[in-house]
Amino acid sequence: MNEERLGEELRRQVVPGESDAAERSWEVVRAAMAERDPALVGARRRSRLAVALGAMASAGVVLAIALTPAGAEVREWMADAVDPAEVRAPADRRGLTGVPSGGRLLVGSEAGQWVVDEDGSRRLLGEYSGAAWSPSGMFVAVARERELSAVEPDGGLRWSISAPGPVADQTWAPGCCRIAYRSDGGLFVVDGAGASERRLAARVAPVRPAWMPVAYDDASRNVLAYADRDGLVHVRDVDSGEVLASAPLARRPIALSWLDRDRILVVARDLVEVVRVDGGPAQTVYRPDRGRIEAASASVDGNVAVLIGSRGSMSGSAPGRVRSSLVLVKAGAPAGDPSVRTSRTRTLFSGLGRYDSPVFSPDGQRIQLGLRDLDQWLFVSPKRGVDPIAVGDITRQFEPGGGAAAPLPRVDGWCCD
Amino acid sequence: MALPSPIALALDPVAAGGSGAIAEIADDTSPIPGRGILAGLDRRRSDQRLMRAAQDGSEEALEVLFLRHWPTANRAAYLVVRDAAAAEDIAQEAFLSAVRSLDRFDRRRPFGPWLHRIVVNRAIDWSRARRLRGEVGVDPEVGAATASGGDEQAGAAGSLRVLSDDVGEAIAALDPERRAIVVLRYLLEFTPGEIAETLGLPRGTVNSRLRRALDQLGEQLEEERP
Repeated sequence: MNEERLGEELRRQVVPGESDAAERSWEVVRAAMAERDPALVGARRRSRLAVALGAMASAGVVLAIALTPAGAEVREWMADAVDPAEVRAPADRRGLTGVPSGGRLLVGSEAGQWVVDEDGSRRLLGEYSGAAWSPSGMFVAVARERELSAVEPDGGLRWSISAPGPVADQTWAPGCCRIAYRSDGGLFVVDGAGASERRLAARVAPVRPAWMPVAYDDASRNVLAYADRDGLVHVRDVDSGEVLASAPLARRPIALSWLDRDRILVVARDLVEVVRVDGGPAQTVYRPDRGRIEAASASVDGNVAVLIGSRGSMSGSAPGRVRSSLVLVKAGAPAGDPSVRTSRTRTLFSGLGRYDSPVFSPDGQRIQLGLRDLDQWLFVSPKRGVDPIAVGDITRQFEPGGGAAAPLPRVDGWCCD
Repeated sequence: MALPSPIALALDPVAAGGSGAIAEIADDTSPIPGRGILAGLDRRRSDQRLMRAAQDGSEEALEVLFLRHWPTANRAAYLVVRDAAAAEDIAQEAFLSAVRSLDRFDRRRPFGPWLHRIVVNRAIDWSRARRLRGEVGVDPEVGAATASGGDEQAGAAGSLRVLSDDVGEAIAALDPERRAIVVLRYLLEFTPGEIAETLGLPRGTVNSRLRRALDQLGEQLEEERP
């Protein structure tokens, strides 16, 4: 064999499972990209293409404001809804003057992490890249590269620890005293005082772990569900380290939430399924007719809002071709009630434009959505007959002195009952 | 025979009908978003420009770089470690290093060779660690694919695997250091000088190891020939 032939043969070698490996790795790499400190990226974060699209969108807003009454562009967009009967023109607020349905928000922007009070007043916590409320809203777990910190809502630092890699998906246990987070490909837990940090698992999937609600566990343990990279979801007592249950997943998940003590709702790109951790069969409760699930948020009552991106909505598409939908999935039968097997789904919203991840309010009465192309937040109700609320001019409020190229600020947390 | 998946087409230069080029695919349902559009951008944008855009926060640019360099990085790692899961981790970790180093990356340096250096060195480290632990080189995914008639990708490229199996086995018979040198020279097309720099070896050592590796490969293939 000559050297040229050897090169050809090496290039022809097929790596087993290469396509799946590429998918998995891209998700991890993409997540790492998203976890970069926004301060490092600065105002240049958007690509030129995105800036151009943003300029087009801004121009569209200006024209709409000039030629039509304020908010008309939103109404036109709303008219494109799947179920127009339930959608009326929203009152378009310019500026966040309050949090619909109450509570406080954690908002991430290029300037850093903000706390927004119920009356709309806001203050900058600091240059953090992600944040999560403690159960009662007394503290916020914030991340900055490899550092995890607990701060008070006024910004006062309580403690800080170093992680082996960039911190992501920190989430506070409902029982108050544990924080789980991902770092360096693994899952870690630290107690509420910033002590006793430990690696709970290695090679976990890039998805936020889900704490079992306190009410579901008679023993008041700190029980966490997480997915690994081998296609399993595990339920673990984080204090004893005991794995209480494991179950296979049909797909790689993008979101996990608890339905009750025995069932976990698992959202993947092409389906939503209920996985039983007591050994029972999994049940697919929703599949989008077209497009794929981009993001999801679960409510306290077990519903989940999934954001569907349709053909043309992927990165690099022109905004005019993007269609996104927000679908409410009610997962169906409560545990032990086999008579009700059919889940219910309802499209809350559908239209042209690109959305950010939905976030349920603590009481489940509103779902916040960011509409990137129009620099707006929408507060949609899962109930019929309740008007959405649109709030515009979002970026300017969280980017003092920032330019139009800054990405739309996102809601990282909504607290509390 | 099952059709190759879109991702298999995109990542397998043979199945895609090209030599290393990424296929133009317009299937938006693919797991990696925007591949069709990005594939178009792929031909027009240099690594240098993509790195600049990625440094500015462009996920699209990073995605194009990933699509462009993942197949070779993963293949290079696999050829050295002969373990698909380990190869995935190694290639993934190399890309994560790239993301972590984005802000410090010198754009005058070519991205591909920089990435591949990380991949090959990590693959050698992994192989040495495995040897120290006394582990036996078994790739369960190969076994599973063979037992089940091949996974989707292996099925799509089944005839090619037959052609390449002898070479694959011969490569596997080399020790990891020699495998790495063969991969660097004939897959990644490094010069002996670049290999010496990458591995921290004298150039003469590289040349002699390369010679011995080729001799061993030749003998191995000769023995296997009926």
